[in-house]
Amino acid sequence: MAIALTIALLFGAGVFMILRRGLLRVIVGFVLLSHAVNLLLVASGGLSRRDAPIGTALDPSTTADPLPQAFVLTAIVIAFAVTVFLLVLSVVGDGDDDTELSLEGRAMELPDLDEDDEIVAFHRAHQPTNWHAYLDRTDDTPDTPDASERRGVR
Amino acid sequence: MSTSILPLLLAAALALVIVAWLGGRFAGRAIGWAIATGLGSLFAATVALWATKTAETLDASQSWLPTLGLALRLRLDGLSLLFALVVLGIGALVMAYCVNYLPPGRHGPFYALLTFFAFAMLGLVLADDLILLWVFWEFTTVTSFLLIQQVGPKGRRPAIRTFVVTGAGGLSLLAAVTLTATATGTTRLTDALASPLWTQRPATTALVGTLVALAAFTKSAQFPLHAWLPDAMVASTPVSAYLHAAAMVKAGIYLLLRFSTAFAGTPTWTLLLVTVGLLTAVYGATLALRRHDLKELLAYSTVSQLGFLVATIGVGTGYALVGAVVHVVAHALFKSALFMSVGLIDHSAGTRDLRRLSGLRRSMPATAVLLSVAAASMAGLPPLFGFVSKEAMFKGFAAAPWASGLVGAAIVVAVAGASLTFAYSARMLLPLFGPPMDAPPHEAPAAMIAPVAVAAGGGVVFGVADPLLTTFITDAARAIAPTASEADLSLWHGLTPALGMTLAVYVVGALLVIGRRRVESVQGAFPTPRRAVDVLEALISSSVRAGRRLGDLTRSDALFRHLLPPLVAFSIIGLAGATASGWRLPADSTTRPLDWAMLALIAIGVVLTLRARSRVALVTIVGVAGFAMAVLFVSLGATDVALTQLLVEILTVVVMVLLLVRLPTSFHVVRRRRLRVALSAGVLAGVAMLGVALVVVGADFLSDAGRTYLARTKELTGASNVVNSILVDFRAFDTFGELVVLGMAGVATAVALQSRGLLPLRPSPLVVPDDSPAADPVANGLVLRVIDRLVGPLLVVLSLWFFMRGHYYPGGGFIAALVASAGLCLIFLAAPDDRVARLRGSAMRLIGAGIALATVVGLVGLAVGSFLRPIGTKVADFSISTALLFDVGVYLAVIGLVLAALRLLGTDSDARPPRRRPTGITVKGGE
Amino acid sequence: MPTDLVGAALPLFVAVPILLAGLLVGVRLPSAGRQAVLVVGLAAHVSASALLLSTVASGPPIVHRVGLWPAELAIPFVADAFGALMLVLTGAMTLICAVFAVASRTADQPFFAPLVLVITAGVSGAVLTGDLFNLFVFVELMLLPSYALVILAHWGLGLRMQLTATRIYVAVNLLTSTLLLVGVGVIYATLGTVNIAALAGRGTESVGGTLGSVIVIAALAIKAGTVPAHGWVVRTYPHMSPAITALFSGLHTKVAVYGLFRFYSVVFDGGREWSGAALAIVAVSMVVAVVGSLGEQHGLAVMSFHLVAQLGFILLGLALYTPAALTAGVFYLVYSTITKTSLFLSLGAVELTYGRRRLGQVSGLLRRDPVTAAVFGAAALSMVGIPPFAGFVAKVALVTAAWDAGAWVAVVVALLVSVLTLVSLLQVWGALFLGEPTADEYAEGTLIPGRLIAPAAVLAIAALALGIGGEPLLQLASHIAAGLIDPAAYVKGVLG
Repeated sequence: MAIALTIALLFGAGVFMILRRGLLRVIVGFVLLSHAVNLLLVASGGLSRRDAPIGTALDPSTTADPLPQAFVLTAIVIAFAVTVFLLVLSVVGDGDDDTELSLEGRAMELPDLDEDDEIVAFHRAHQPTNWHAYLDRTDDTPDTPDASERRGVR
Repeated sequence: MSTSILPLLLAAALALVIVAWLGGRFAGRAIGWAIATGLGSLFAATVALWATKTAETLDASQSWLPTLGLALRLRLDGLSLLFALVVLGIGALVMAYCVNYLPPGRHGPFYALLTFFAFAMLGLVLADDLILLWVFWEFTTVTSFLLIQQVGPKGRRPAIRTFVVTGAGGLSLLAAVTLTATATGTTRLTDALASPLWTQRPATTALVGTLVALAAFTKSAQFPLHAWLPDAMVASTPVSAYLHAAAMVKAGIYLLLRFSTAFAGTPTWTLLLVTVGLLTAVYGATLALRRHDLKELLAYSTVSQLGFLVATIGVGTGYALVGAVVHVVAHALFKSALFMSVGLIDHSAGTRDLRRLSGLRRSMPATAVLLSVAAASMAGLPPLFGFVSKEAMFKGFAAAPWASGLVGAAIVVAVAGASLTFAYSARMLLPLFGPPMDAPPHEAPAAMIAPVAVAAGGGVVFGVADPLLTTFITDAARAIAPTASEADLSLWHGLTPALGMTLAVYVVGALLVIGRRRVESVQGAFPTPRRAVDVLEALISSSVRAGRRLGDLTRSDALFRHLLPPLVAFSIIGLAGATASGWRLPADSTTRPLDWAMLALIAIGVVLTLRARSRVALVTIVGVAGFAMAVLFVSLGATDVALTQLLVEILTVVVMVLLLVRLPTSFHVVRRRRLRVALSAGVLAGVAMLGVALVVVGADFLSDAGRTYLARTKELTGASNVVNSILVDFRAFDTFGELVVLGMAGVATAVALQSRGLLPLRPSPLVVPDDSPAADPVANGLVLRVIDRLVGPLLVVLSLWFFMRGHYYPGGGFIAALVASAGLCLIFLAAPDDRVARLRGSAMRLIGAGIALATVVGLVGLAVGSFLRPIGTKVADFSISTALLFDVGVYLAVIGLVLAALRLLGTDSDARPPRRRPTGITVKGGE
Repeated sequence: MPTDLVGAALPLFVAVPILLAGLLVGVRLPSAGRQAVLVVGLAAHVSASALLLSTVASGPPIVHRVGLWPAELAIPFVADAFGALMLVLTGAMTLICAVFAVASRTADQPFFAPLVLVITAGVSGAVLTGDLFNLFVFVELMLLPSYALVILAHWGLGLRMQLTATRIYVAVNLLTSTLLLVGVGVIYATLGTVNIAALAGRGTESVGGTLGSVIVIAALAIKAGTVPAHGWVVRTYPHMSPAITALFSGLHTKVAVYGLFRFYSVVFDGGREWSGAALAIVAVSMVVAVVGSLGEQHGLAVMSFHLVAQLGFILLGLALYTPAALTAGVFYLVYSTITKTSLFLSLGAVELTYGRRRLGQVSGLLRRDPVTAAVFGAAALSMVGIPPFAGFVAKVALVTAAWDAGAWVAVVVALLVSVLTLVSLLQVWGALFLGEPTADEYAEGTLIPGRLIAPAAVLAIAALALGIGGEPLLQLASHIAAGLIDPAAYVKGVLG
């Protein structure tokens, strides 16, 4: 019963967090969600047998089911990987990790309305004069900052 | 022999399309002659084929998509013959007309499309397969769309509207034919129409009948679906003459005639066709009477004439069908003649406006004659063919098998429509009279007039020499209704009701012409009805508006708007499931005292997390729940899980700390309502999850798989840590995928930072005087560094230890790597600044190496039969196997990810790409 | 070929792309080298898949227990006609999109090639695996590189909308994966296994089993982007680079749909008790999506809505669950993938060339770019279901099946949605190709380079070929449908 309550608590809290504003909160919400699910997975092996499945001559009547534990291990690590990426996404935004730009209304407009002019400007700079030159540019390896400079002049 | 000829006809037509394309491209407009000749010879061939036929009908079949029951079944009977001749004959004339109508230059697409249309119509009337019929039907739709848009910008909306209406009709036909096929169990048109079903199941009959009628109404421009036809007049005159007067609009008529075999006389069919037909006949005629543009006038007259045809078919008796068939031919002749002569006038005079044209009988005598002959035929004057056909139709109405009252009503309406026809036919002749225009137009070249003359002349010839057509008409009628009587096309068959009706038409018509001033004033008094085109446009734009509104539901960048629907769906499912299973409480054996303690601890952690107002607070507090989880896992016998959980928690927090310096300290504020939505969603989901968890906890049994793992792991893999053995042996494939996921996370991190660059560091909130030791990074990092000096090597050893023992005790690649990563973090945090802390070794190389190594190890397994099958030997009581190497791969991948995160996030923002204005090609081209 | 050998080779569909990816990440090749590895690798992948398809097309499924462990412990890899068909389809789409990416310089990005290769591996694994948890792993394997591709851009040139799209994309998929795991947990707790074959027919065994299965199905449906959880698809897809959008439209939603077909048919063993509910959801999905497409102003946004609507058509086959309907569904799956990818690619070519995204900003292309017009037109006609393009086969098959199943509602919805699709596509066509040619100094004289339109053209031709010569695929589809109706062969193959 206690475990079920724990799962529910973590899940509910996680949901509340991911529905709030600010990516960091959302991430924390997802961390809580994965806690809940991991616990659920372990519980899916049964809670009345709790001996660690380590050693020889394991007694099935008292030893915990190892399979869900393997599941959880995989799940934890995958969740960690995604979390790291989400964390990165929170610091490459404009200004901060706000997740509700659209509440300011502008983004409720058609997609990227605000960027079209810039695209046009960009293309005015590129076409038709050197569109092919643009396509046939030599490859820029990513770690050289001067690559961006070279594009800057184009 | 005959079976192979029908496909040949079609093939020839198709070949003509290619000729037309290439010819139009290279030979220019003159290719029209060639195409005309081609279609003409096809015409002749068809006649010859029919004359020399051995059987009642000609059939050919070739399977195409048997699974759909779709086959290339062709059949030439009286009806198809008549329509085929109309299509080919008029086609030839129009092509010849094109030569001089088109401006010099390339006309590849135009000719190709026009010829393709002829092919499509030919296929349509020859098809003896329900689905094939629909296929050709759609061909005609598309062709007409393409031909209308040919005229350029001004054809845009008309073309679209035409496609929308006729396309909808096509779908209705699709529904009809598929239903027919499933109901009758055959896709062969002839068999389907002959099926007894139509008499047995009135409901289905009514439904199919309605669907077919709808399709025909769209194609043959019946009220209220006629909008597109006058609209389509933007297309060039040959197109109007061929598609929108003679041939394509007749496709609907053909369909109705064809299906009359099954539906003639059924109530729905009759009611629908007669009412709609007569309504359209009158409506079209009245509108024609008030148009000034000759072409538009003709368009409405076409609408009205088609109405007559539909109504006549609706009557469905032998007489009526004969009448309809006759009128098909007559209308094709005079209407194409009219269109083409209007084209002549337009071509020379540069206008088609009744009010601006005058005195043409002097300036364009030949055209004037042709125009008046054709118009007279349309008005139904003897001895022209139009007279014959109108008589035949009236005969049909007069002999309709209904209550006399209904017949009377039908007759009255028919007469009214015909009188209006008479009136507007006369009105068409106005331009011939009056004073000659200033700059009177000159006659068009003979070569251009010739085709018109043929069409108009046909009206005269068939009118006078009626036997020419009798057999064809009779065959056509009998192809539909075998009982139909011999067609009587003579000009005079005594004092019949039909004759009376005709006379009535002349009288009323004449009155309308004489009193046309008054008529016009009366019409002017009536407001012009809303143009159906505008109605259609309104429909389209309103659906667009509806689309906007629907789109607004999802047109948002707020995460919660996109996360809410899945959560609500889950909550509903969970609650439903829990309720179904009765919220049963689990057995006490599943609960231990410690669980409650942990619940309490986690609850505290969670509450603090939820209440955290600043990012720092959030990050510091989030660990609490995590560590409690670890303890809980230990108590659940999941030691490896606990260890992993612990280390992952540490690393997550470290990464978060690295980011904090780039984010504002406090969160955005949101409206209370928003918060309440989130809160209630959370509560709902929590309760649903409780239900789900109860189901899970309640089950509580050891699965067979689990039992087998416990029993046989040692024997199968020599491992005593079952969980670890599952990870690296039994389910190594999961682990394999998981380590690649880790690696990709590292790559993704690099990609994201390269794409956007890091936010700049924020000024630290706490102010430190420069002379204080706290200001000196070297000084204030001292403690950490000392720890690190001591702990660093220890961690490395620990990591190796964990690594080696994985197969037997808690540990293994992941845990070992996580321990090492923790060491890395320590070194990193301890360093005075991140330049010093630039950790050696490239993260990406580590990741790549890890992934590659693990894969190679897996591939080695193929040597003993399977991917990831470990190969090992027993050394003492330790078994050394490739699984260990595999674990090395895992180890490297984990280190790689952590290293990537530390290096990429820990550096100064100026080392990252400069933030620049976004530009289109970058997102669209990924450039 | 001996089947056990083929079986042992099945994991290679995952391993080989990953090995290549690992090497590409670890060893820095010049851009040309990376792109060569990518294209050649994918080509090999596709041909291997084709070989596999020819092996299993008519025979029994080929099963391999990875690691050769006992049946109840090992992860089974299963290749039947459906799976092999999906491998060929997804592989081909990936190859085409990769070629487009090379042509449009998207593939210049140093990590583009490895990311796409890993996606290929993930898709192959998700298609071939017969284990629910393993499916989750491979779905994640498919998703992580996708996250990176969404935000992929040149040095510092990523757009804000791109970042927003990435956040939405990651968050929704992470949540959905979490739900998927919940479903797996419930299933394991109540039915004691995650082996799909071992679950055969047990979906209705107990309340718990049903609950778990429904949660899994819901998760897959969300990943497929069915209404009401379609918002993330239509909001994020238009903001990726066209090559990526096309790739995702051809892979991700389709894999989810495949999972739905597979899981539903096995676990509920052809049970039709959910037919009504499924039909309702699908119908709503189609109508909402197609109406939504009318309101959009960006070509790619319109297409994203159509993506959801077309999904409805595919799932209609599953909802009706008759042999004919499933045949239609499978055929629809293949054809709509090809057609839709073609549309995305040709629109992408236009946007890349003219740099304009909003409809009406570029117009009158019919005269200037007849080839592009032909390619787009062909694909559009195919999508509306006009013969002789593949769409008409699918539509006829589906409507016939619906009449057969007596589901006139399905017919009505299908036809209504088709009309609206026609309207929407005509709007796009009218805006893009008809009307006055764009008067814009930078656009004058610009032509869409052949290498940008070629990939879409190939797919358009494929759509035509599938329309005229659709019979083989139809027969394959009906064979697959039979296997879905009666999964005995699949189950027996896995459990031995």
